[in-house]
Amino acid sequence: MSEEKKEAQPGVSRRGFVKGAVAGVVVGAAATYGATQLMVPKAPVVPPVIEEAAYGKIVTMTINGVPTTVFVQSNWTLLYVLRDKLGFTGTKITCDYGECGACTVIINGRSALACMTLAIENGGNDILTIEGLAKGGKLHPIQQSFIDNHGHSCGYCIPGIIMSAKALLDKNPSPTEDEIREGISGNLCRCTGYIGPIRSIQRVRM
Amino acid sequence: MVETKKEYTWEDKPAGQKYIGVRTSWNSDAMGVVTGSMRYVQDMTMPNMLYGRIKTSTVAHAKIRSIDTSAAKAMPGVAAVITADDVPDVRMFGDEPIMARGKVMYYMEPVALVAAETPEIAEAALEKIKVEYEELPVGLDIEAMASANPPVVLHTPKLLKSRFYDERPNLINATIGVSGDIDKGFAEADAIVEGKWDVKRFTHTTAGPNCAITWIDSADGRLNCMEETQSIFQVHYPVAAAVASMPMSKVRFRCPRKIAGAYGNRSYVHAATRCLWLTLKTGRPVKLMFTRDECTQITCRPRWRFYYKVGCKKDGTLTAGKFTVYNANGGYGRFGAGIVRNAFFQFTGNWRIPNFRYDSFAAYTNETPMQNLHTFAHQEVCFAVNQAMDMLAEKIGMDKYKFKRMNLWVNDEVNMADEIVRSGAVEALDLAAQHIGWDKPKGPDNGPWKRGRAIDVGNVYINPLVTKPLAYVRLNANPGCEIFGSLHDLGTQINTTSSLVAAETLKIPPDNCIVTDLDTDHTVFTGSAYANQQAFVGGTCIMKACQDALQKLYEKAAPELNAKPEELDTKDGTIFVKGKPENALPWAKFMQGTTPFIIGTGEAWFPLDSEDINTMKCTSMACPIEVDPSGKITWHRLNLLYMFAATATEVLVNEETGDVKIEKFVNVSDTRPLNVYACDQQMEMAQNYLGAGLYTEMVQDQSNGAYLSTTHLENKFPSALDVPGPSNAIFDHAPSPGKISPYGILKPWPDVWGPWGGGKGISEATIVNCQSVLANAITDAIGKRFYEAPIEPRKILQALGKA
Repeated sequence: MSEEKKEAQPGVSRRGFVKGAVAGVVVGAAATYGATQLMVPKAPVVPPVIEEAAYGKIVTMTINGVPTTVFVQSNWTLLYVLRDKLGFTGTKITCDYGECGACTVIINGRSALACMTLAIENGGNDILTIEGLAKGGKLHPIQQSFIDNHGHSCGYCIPGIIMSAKALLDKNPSPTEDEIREGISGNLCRCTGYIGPIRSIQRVRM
Repeated sequence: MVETKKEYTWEDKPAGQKYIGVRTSWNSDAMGVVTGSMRYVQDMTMPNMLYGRIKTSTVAHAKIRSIDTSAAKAMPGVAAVITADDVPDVRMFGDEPIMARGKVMYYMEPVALVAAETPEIAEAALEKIKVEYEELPVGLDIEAMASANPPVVLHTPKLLKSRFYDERPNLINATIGVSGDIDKGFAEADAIVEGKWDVKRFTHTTAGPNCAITWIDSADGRLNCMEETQSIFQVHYPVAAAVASMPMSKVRFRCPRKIAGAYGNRSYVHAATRCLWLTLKTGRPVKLMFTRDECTQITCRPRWRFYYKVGCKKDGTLTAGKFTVYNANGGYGRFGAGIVRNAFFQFTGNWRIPNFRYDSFAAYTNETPMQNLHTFAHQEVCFAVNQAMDMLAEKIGMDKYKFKRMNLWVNDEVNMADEIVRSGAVEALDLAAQHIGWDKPKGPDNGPWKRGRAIDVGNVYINPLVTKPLAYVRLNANPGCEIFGSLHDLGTQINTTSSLVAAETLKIPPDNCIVTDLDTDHTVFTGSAYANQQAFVGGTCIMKACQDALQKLYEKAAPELNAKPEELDTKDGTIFVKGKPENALPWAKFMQGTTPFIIGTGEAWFPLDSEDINTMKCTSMACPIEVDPSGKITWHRLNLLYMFAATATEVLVNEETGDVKIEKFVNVSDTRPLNVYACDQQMEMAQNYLGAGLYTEMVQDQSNGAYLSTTHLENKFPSALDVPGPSNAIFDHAPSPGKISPYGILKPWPDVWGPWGGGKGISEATIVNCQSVLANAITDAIGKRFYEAPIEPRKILQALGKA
């Protein structure tokens, strides 16, 4: 243990290296916490059983064509259930306020913000997420167009934009540029300047 | 939609390239993106994982009297609540603690951390933490705070040392640049203009919130961190180890394949440094994801004030310039010392001003600490400089485009810092003028809608800040290769560009050229994703690594083909004697047995050995402009290269409502695009910064430093309806002339830099003019000058005397 403690002290050479690398990270004196704990890995901790909230129920929704039964608390959003309970992480979280459109899904044919929708209200609903767009190993034409026309940059907002585009094109198969701009105006994108997404939606070949 | 050239050429680009400089839609990450299967940190979870949250301060400047965490700790499902008292006093970048220590310096500074079984419990626990503050006066006036007698002093004792005027209590850094004789220069001028400009705060708005997952590997007991980073080796990995107070060998840092937006936000370790302490306390995996408010309040660019005075002769020749720059840096230093120095590079790169003086100051203020945001000051500097240039042109009655064109450094000219300026600025400016139709009169007004247009030019530097960037490739018989290097894909498509570079060098399809994920355990240092160096530095390393592997393959194959290695060539995974492709042998023939692969390594420029670094002081934070007591300046070599962009726009301004419509938008870079689509996209991104010129702003309560707007809508981030859109915009590139060999006169560097002489950086230059070009166009429309960005309708009406 003494060896381990020694290693845990902020050694001069290491400090020197860090300092050089990042222009002055100061390591303070009381710096023995982490390493001593680490040397002997902790046994896995069994999480305490958390009482479920008093209000909640089991709902069955159709997600991407598959009937899915899940317990939801009354205050859980659809976004939380999709991402954290069911693993549909293609539906993204950016603001969690209903401002950015990254969590756009299609509920009963209409686009909706999963972060502004309570999961408990969705019993019996038909929900389409980005994961359900490709069918039989073949991309949806909108997805294909985003690849062909270089529609993404960092890509994080793109699933939401594609879902908005799907809702738009389902109603209006040949939208004008202004209609496309309006159709995706609820989706904020920071790095494409919207040109790539608009170009991709303009060139979708259904 | 105008799609410009299909292919771009430059001097050193060999003919017949399949992937480089041509428009290919091949993209290594597109499939993951469009199907939603690309996993960002925000999407990841681990078994037995806790959810972390941050308790933030409700005041901008205060002593912390007490923090009571007992009620929070007692809640079922709360695994840990920690404050500064529970962690070592580590100061990131010299002054910033992991959590507020004794004092809070800005509104929403982290004061405590919680880890709990569910997000709801974590949130409820935050409410139970009681913090008592003793409020202190808030210091926001930048000039007062930078002075010798500021109204408020933030850090006692002072933790950061300023290069000059270190006796000033809040000063983080000051730089001085002097050239020629400024009094003589102004005496020679026929026209002089001056002004004071203010540029407001603006936040990164990354699509993915700041997020980290940390855990302890049960097999080897090491601390593992996962966070999106722009600089895994230079910042995140060493800082995480320092914060954890552990040897670097006990820490492993990873970054996912794709980064959910960065723009400077991820050049600092915001989440992992806090999250890892929750893991060290609980022994369990913890995920800490910032809320949108926290993203905005913990990271945004600084506020700026500029005083500029510029003079020229009747014929338009600039004679003198005096520039004073203040940066309201926020509660901690972060990169503030560097940003006020680098702001100066706008002049070394762009403007031939024979006599000038530059003074800059960065000082603490009670607001969010500055965070690098796209261009590291240059778009703010340009907002003022490009307006000053227009004002001068107006004063002497000269065409603004001609005025700017004649005062730019031209290609091969040696600037005041002894750099050869490798510039395509004039070419880019000419192309932008052509695309906007500058030689024709602008269109007519329409009732209350007055028409205006402007053309601006600016630069951002490329600086690798690295000594020996390295990449290696593992060639396999597929034929294919795996690429190892620290390539951070922020949306720049560097993964794709790297694959294209390998494919072009190895003459195989890019699908088989795989970029491996970022992980400090198995990647090597190939630079970082800042200062526009990734394609330039990484691309060169990868090209050389591929050439090295091919060379080794040729040496193996030469006896079999009865030829010398240099007489061999390759295509589609076969080797043959040049000119005799019919006798080709497959790579696989020479990659058999127990090691069916060949390793190639590639280093980029070598002149930066340790001695060079000491004499040239190329390291980012240490690069000085030195002045001796007599005022004589000693220049140190500053940058590798400057990259330029020319931006033009035509707007309609409504004199009754103050609304601005962008009718046309043109953006031209002087880069040599390796991956044309990716470079176009960088130009297109500029549209989002038009918001920063017109409305996007973090509104600040001047009484207490708090931000009144924190969300996307409150900050008014542009939507697809707010940008000019494809049919009104043109994006193009004017590849800069000449060989790119930047260390020109003092130490000629024989090689051509950048893969195939291309890859001159692009990303930051594309947005540098966005705010200034709108200001100049609005002035052209209504005849009023604007000294504050953004220029909202109310300011336009005020200027017109209507509000």
